[in-house]
Amino acid sequence: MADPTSASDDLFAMWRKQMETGTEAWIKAAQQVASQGHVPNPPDPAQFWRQFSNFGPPGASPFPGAGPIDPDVLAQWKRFLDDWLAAWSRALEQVMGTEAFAEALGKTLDQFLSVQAKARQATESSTKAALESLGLPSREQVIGLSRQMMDLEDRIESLADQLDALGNRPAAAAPATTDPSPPRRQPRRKTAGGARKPKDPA
Amino acid sequence: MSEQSTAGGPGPRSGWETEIERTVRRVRNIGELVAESNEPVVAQSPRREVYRKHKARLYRYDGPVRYGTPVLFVPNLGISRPTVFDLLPRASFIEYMVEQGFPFYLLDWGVFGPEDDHLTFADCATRILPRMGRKLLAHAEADSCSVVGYCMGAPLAVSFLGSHPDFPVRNLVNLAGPIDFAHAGLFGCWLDARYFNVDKLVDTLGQMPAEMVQLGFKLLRPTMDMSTGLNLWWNAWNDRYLEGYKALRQWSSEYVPFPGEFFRQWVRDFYQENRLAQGTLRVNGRPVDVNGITCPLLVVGAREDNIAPPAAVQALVDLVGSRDKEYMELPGGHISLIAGRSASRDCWPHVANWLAARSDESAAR
Repeated sequence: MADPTSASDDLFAMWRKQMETGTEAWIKAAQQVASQGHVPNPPDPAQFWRQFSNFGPPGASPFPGAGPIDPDVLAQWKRFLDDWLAAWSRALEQVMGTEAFAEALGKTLDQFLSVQAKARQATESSTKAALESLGLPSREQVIGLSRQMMDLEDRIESLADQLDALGNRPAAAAPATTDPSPPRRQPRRKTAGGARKPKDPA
Repeated sequence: MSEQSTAGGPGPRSGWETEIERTVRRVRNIGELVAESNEPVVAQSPRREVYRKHKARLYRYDGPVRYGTPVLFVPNLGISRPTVFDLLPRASFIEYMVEQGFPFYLLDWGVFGPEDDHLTFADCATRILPRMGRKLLAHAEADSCSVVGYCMGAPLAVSFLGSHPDFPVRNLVNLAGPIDFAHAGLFGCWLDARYFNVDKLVDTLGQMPAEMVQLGFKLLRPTMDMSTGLNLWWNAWNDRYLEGYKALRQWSSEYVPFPGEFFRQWVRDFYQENRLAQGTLRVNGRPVDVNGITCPLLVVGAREDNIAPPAAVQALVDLVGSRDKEYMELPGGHISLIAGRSASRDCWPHVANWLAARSDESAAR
């Protein structure tokens, strides 16, 4: 049996590793942007307002103070978030794949079912009594009726199968009958293609 | 992302303009998404009901017929509705297969209620599937058919074919269907007999409720909702993405319960005792002889599939007695084989070409 404390230690170690990976990804993304020459300076929080005070010639950068920030930084941010989520997903998957987690999940379900069993029993008996007093069928009775209909459907199908089998019997083997009704129509079978026996071409 | 991203000049400014424009559209589209109550219309391909047995329905899709060997598509039972296979026009597996000229039949298992709690896996494999198969052959006027199983539909199809060696199956395709449950991933771990008491669950609740099915799948990938939300925000400017998102959201929000006895047998025989892969599975007294399946086989696994990991899917290749067999592994997750851009690019054409090479031409051509 796995030790639950070791599982929590593992989780912490994975979380720490994930944080380190995330930080590295941020640094890498920032370096990439800087190396492309898009952001020579760190982002300037006041740059949005500066465009209203600094008017340059047409075609000039609207952010003369800080230089332009390429919108690709948003794509990098999205990639970072994707990686971050993927890292979390992997970490959680490792934790959830442990026997300790499966055991804890099983115990939780067991407790839930124990409570449910008592609650259901109490609800069903009181509902049944209320429906009986109103002269209405209970849930079990409705389900029973539905099952009877399904059984009936099965029996009709079985009879239809037997009739089909009778209709498919060769004339010589069929019992003599005085019934003048036409024979059952045989289901048409295509003659071309589709071998009856499965074939393996290899 | 940005169309122009060079430093200096009009490049970055154009990039920002694009980004601002997209952000405005994102806000507008997400506002509409939250406000509107109209759900997208899914499963639009024309079809006819051929046969019904209890909740199960056999549908034939209308389209041009090029091949004489019909296809019986067996999806998962419970969990979700089969609308994902016919999500939207031009983004539908069924529509694609029909356009390729296959007489395509879908087995819809239906939505189960408490009256179906007694339905077992064995009933599906020995009573429903054989009957559906026979009805299909009669309706298509064919002597044999190809069987394509997706997810749980694959072990169901394999159990049916392994226990009915006389059924004229022409080809078998397993799309992300787990066979060897020794490699069943997280579900295999959680459903271990030492921790998961399936008897108590079924005896208490009667069935495996849809809410618990949903919980199980959410737990499998806890960051999925965040990831979906992030991708939605990022792509919300794109109307086409949004259309697909809405259809997929509608499908993924509708979970379907398992009949109680089905779930009991599914967990015990497959997850806990791995009987199919070990060759010890019996369905209503019939042994399931996987090695007795000798028709051509195609198995497709998804590399990042955490519902049916590739190792659990691939196992079928070694178990069958077929000589013509192929395994293909594609990138992506469980759904990416059946819905989405990568499915229509990588998976569907391969399945269609593989089947086409092993199907008869239609006599009516």
